[in-house]
Amino acid sequence: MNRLSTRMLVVFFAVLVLSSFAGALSLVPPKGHGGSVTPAEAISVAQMYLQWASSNIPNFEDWKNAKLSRPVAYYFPNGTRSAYEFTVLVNGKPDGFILVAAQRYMPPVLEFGKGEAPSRRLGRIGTARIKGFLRERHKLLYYGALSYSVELGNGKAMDIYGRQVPVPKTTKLALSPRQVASAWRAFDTDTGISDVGVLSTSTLTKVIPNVPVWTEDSYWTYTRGVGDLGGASTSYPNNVGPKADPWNIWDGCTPIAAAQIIAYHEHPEIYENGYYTQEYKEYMTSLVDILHHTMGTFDTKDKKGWTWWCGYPGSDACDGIESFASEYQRLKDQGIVSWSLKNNYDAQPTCTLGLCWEFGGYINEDDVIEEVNSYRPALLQLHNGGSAADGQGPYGDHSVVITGYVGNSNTVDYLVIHSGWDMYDHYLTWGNWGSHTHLVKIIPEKR
Amino acid sequence: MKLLRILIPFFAFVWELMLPFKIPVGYYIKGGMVWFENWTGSAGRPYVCWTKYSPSPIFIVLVLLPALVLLVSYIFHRDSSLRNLGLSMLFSLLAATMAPVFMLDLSINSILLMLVSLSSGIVLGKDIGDRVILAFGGFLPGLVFILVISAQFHGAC
Repeated sequence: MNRLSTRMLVVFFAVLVLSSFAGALSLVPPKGHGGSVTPAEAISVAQMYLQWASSNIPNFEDWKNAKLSRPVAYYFPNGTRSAYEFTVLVNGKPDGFILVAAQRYMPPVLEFGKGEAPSRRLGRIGTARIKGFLRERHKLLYYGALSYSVELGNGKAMDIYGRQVPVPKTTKLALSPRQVASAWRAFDTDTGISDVGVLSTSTLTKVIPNVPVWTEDSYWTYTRGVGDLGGASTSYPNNVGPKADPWNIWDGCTPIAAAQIIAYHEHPEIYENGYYTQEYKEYMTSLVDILHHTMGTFDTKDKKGWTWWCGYPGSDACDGIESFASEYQRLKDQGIVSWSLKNNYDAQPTCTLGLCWEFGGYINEDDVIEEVNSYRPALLQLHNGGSAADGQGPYGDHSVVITGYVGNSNTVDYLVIHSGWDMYDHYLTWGNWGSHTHLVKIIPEKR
Repeated sequence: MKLLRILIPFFAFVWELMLPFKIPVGYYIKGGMVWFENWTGSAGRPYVCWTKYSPSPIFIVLVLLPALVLLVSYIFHRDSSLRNLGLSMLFSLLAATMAPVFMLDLSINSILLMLVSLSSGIVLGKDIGDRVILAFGGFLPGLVFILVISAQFHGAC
């Protein structure tokens, strides 16, 4: 018995020692694939990726002759350089960004997309929120997907939503050394990027640029908010615009979400001039009020701001979107609104027989990717929606705008949304919602 | 009279289908919003929007109306088939009206309704054909009522 125990113990230790060798071997980076990446090498990677994306990813064709900005460096919390960000310039104008790793144990291209470069967004929010903000003084941090932030000192940072967040003391990146080495090899060999499979591990951030963001936050901030007030004695359509509404101060999440989508298709230039302008406020409150009316949004004390899902026998979200153009034209003829109207709108819900109201609906990644790639923000009808990555929520039964996604060319990890509750982007993990959640595709048709 | 016994469930079906749309939702749904004035937008939510099925006595009477009409007709005509159909419909509609108060689950409520309708048909019917008519007469209007009520919670605020 004793001899048997001793033999088993020896075998056990032998296995232990051998397996530790195997583990150690797998952690050794392949020859020439250790160390940090110089800015010159990063530029070369970004340029190659630019060419690859322009010929392999739908809607990135305009990157073919694009130029790159000077790199912006990001750091890990311990001070080591983590990434280089390049703004992609098409005809001299920003048209997305590429984030290249600064260490060879990370995949060469970490993230890319058509949205605003994270450093630009951080700069914009930092200038507004941090006293004496200077890019040279405040280090930019990146330590994993979507972890962009500005270091404030004392273990604190400001994230891309402008919130103060603690800086983690340690970070752990879950990377496959073999895949990372293969990906670097594809860039290092002068043959260009041929192994698309390797690159599919990169995270793609695709956001439709300049989708107007809006909330009727007068609801909780009262006179300090950007929306209009409620409870007035005027009747529709005399309330259309920033004037107080006859209904509740909260106009309803579905009209607010649909208004952002229609504003994107109609007059994005008003938003591009800045969301603090009087014209933007007038335009957005007008759209919200009209949609509140066409959608038949409830004003009763039992269902304030409630809008039926598509397929309801009376007015609902889809009816409201589809009848928007005729109602807007009617008000324009009466001189109540003045901006031009370019499109009619078709609302296509992803529900069996279009009866979302009766049977609920479904949501597919392909539909989201197609809508975003076609530059069509979509209405997301959340059923029992969870919270966003930054903690906003839970959303419950709520309507939001999908403006983009984080994933790769055929899967979605996060949806980029405008929640209608504030003026920021939020990231909602794919599937963090109930089974009846569905999309409403909003298709503009030229008038 | 046999034709009437087949037609009445269909009339009841139409009645139960139209009723929730024709009267204000306040008769059977209670709801409201609770908002947080100090919400700053960094996390959490600015309001909670809630709805709950809560049928008022008038609403319950209106839902049961087809069954009540049959039972009143029985008093005048003394035809036991009218009474049996009225009772079968009464039990099924009562189950359909009250079950969602405790659990708003379409499949569970449908199964419960099916059990009540079948039991009523078996107990009250004289032969197999009669049992089928009674069970069907209670189940059909009850099912449409459950379908319409469960959908009344599909929206966003």
